[in-house]
Amino acid sequence: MQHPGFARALYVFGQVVCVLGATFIILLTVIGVLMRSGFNKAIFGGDELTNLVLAPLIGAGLILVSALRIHIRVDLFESGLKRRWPRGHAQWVSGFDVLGTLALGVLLLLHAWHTLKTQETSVVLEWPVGGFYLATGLLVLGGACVHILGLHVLSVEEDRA
Amino acid sequence: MTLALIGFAMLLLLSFSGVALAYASLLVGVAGFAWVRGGSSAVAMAGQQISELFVNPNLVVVPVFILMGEFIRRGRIADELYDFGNALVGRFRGGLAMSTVLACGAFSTVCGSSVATAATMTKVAMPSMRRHGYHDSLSAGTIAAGGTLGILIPPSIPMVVYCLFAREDIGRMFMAGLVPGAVLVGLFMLTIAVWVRWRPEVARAGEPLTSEQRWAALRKTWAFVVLFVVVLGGIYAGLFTPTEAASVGALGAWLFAWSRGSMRHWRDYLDVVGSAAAISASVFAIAACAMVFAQFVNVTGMPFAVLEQVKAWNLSGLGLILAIGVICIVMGMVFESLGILVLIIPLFIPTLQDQGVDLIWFGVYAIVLIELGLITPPVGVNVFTVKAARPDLRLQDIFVGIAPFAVAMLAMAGLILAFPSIVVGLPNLMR
Repeated sequence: MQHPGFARALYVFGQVVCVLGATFIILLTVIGVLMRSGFNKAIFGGDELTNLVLAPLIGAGLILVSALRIHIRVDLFESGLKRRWPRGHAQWVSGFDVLGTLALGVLLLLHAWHTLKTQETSVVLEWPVGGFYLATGLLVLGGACVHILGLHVLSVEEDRA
Repeated sequence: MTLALIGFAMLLLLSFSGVALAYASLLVGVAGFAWVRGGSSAVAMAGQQISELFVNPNLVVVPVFILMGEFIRRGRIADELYDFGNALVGRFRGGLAMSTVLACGAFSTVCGSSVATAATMTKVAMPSMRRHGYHDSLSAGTIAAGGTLGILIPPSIPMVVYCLFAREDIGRMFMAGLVPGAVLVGLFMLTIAVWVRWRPEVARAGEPLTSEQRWAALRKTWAFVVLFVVVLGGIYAGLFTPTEAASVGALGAWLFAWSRGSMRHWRDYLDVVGSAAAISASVFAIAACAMVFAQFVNVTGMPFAVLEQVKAWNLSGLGLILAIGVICIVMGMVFESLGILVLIIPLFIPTLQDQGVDLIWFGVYAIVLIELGLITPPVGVNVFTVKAARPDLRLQDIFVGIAPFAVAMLAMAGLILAFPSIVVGLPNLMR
């Protein structure tokens, strides 16, 4: 699927965040195992940091899900609905994708705002967890942007067709 | 209760109209909760549920195991497993199909997805079976059914999601899937043996290999053996948590892929890690949004109404389990595995606990029946995966081919019901 410039840039940004996040999680965990088995020591807050990094990794993954349109859905009646309402069905599905992704992003941002306001911190490292939720919420909204841009491209292509 | 039923009806309606399962659950869950407790409570609940799930320590294994599976695919370990299976049983009539089942079972011990297993094995095994004159129904049916082992034999993504909802230990759940997985591999091989005896024209006997050739095929599987021992052996021996085992396994799988000439360019990393993260994100989206929907169902009191109803009907534990099994099979015809888990489990957990059902045992039983849904019409995700990987296959051939394997899966569910120790024996031995 071809994306316009901004959506493409978001897609690559999502990929880069995923590579950095996954590499960080794997290396931190493996180093933790080596330190525990070799030196009987643990990385202070290592497990907690791994959990916190997971959130932005998934947020970035949702940009890719939006760009590739690989949400898990029941496609049993898809061909019949497409045949009956070719344009309406595409708009219905895409509309809910936008609405759902926006709702997910906004809910994460609202929770981030709440945890930042109440100065909620993680248990071990005592880092403000709201920052991680904020980053995740923004990444998910990036996914919504990809959806919206994709929707625009879809309707333009359909008009041309 | 009525509100929850309306919620379920709305969820089904939205899902059937093509709306993503995650977003259908989220929207219905938030709207339903807001109806009962007010808008601000619903927003606060949903934000908290989603955020907490995204940093859930038990779920770190999901992206890491998926990534490990991607590295393993790049490392061409599946080809070696198939060659070894062929060396073991290839000389028998239907031997290549049996090799495929063995390779699927072995591949499943390092890959947690049935679709990935089916897609990989289609590319590895299908050309060889066609070359040897195997009928498409046998070869495609074997691959589609063999692929389902991916979610029964650990590591398994649906097992992780199940444990999240059932609040069970992931390590114990993984161990519980091992023996049933091995038994199902045996049942699939028995199915092939019976099939080729009944209709010998669907498969030929292969060439016997010398013991040197067999030994060479075995030696080539060392990469798989190392990963298997480290990942599952580490969890079983209590050396690693599942997350640590996944990380060590992913690093090992990357090393194998890299040493074999793969993963040498930065674009490979963007593609492979991006693909793993995208699959993980779609799993997380479903799990998080299903949590929101489950909160709505809980606030309506439906799980306890179900519990009261079961008591009123004097339904025994076995009757309840059989009834849930039927629901799993019916839903499996429409929903994919995660959808069934997130809809059924939160609803029935209080009742199952009240009946004293071991939730680890029940999880494996449910997953075997959900596996059945992966190959039964009209949806049959694995059937379409095989078809997508080999577009020249006829869909009816694949559906004909999976029928004997579906019987084997039902037999497996029966065995789990009759002999629960198949499931709980190994986890009870765990340190």
